[in-house]
Amino acid sequence: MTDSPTPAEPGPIDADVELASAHLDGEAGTDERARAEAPEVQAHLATFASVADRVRDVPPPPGGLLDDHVARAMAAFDDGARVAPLRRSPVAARPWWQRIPVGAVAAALVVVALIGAIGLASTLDDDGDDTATSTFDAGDGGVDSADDAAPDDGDASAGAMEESTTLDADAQFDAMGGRAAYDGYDALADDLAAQLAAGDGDAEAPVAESDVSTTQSERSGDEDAADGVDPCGAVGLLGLDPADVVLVRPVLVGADEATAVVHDADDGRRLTVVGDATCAVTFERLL
Amino acid sequence: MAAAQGGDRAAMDALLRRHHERIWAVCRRLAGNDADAADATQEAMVLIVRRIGTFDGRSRFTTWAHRVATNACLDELRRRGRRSADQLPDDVDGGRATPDRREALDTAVSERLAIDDALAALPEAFRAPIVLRDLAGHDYADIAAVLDIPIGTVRSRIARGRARLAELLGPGNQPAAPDRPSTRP
Repeated sequence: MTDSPTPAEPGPIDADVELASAHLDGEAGTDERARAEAPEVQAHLATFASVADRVRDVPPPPGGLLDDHVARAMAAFDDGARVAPLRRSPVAARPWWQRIPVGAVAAALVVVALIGAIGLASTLDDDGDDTATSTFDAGDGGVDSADDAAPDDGDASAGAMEESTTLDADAQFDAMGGRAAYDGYDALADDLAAQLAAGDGDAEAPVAESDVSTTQSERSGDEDAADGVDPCGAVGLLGLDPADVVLVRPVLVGADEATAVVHDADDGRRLTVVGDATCAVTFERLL
Repeated sequence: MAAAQGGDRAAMDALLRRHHERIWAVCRRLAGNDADAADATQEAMVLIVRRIGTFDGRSRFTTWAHRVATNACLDELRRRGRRSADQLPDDVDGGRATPDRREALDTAVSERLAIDDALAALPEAFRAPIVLRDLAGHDYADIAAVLDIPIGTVRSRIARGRARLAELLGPGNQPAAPDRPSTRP
């Protein structure tokens, strides 16, 4: 037995201390309760009861705080009632075609129509407009024959289509509040760091702008955009200046849904992950 | 509860008012001062409103609300840099404190620290379970759920924390003055 065991002393805790504490809380087992009658345990028990009394003796909240807190919380309640449902449905709860925003579909159709029109115009040029064809071919390395030009046109169209499809899929993914899945937090951090490094500068700005604007659209009533995006309001929760926010992204880490926030901090670019279930910070790391 | 979850404004208002004092008390003890506790309580109340849709009834509402409040308070304190979020393992070693810190604690002990100061001297890993037990009245199983630690760890941390508090409060440790208002459960 030791005197005054403290958390500053790692190692086994004094059995009498632990027993007295558990007994005070009604958490001692049957055989432990018999041992709690020992004078040493009773001495600890009296001391701990006194400590517990002092912990419970909390000064009341300052006047007006209750009304102020409730008013602010109810303002959040009113915001929530006006816009997105408080409980976010799982990403895969609806078929994928129902989770594609109408705007994204319309944009994709416009892109496809434009590409089709360009392809049709090129075909017509190949058939009869020598001036236009020579201009096009000159820009493409001076191909003269119609037979050679046709495959080039096809490659160009295919390339444009492929790029368009990729961008459109990314846009849809973001618009749907899609969640990239990671095995662990370090994998998430590494991936985000790589993405930001690859797109450092101009490429990352639209990411932040897009994601932050999506968060704002949640408040403006766009249910599609609100679905799956930052249910805890991570930027506000972390007390960040939106101007410093580089990226806000819903992610899956293992089985946990979370929101990843990257912001420019004094010590560098920092990733903070907020768990959607608890609205608590679950991970932090400099990228 | 169900009405508040269903969007009934009056029910939500009543729910918040009913739980405010206890949430304040938890945050006040975790924060150690009125200003930080006020901000943390506000944050907790807003989070409860925003997250009430996720409450599934598998635990008591009070347990769930205190989980939200406790996390909000601790996050608020971490953001303010008042506490190190790294002091969480069960083998927290206050003995590794800097000489200045140790001297400050020794001096404080000799002066019989007020309970706020004594709680503030405890690592967060010990302070939170004590507050949830003595102030919020949770049993060990609830505390384990709120803090996401094993029940055995809850038991040992509360015991170690109380022993340390008793030491910090001094041999003349007395129950609080009876004229002070209390939020005792």
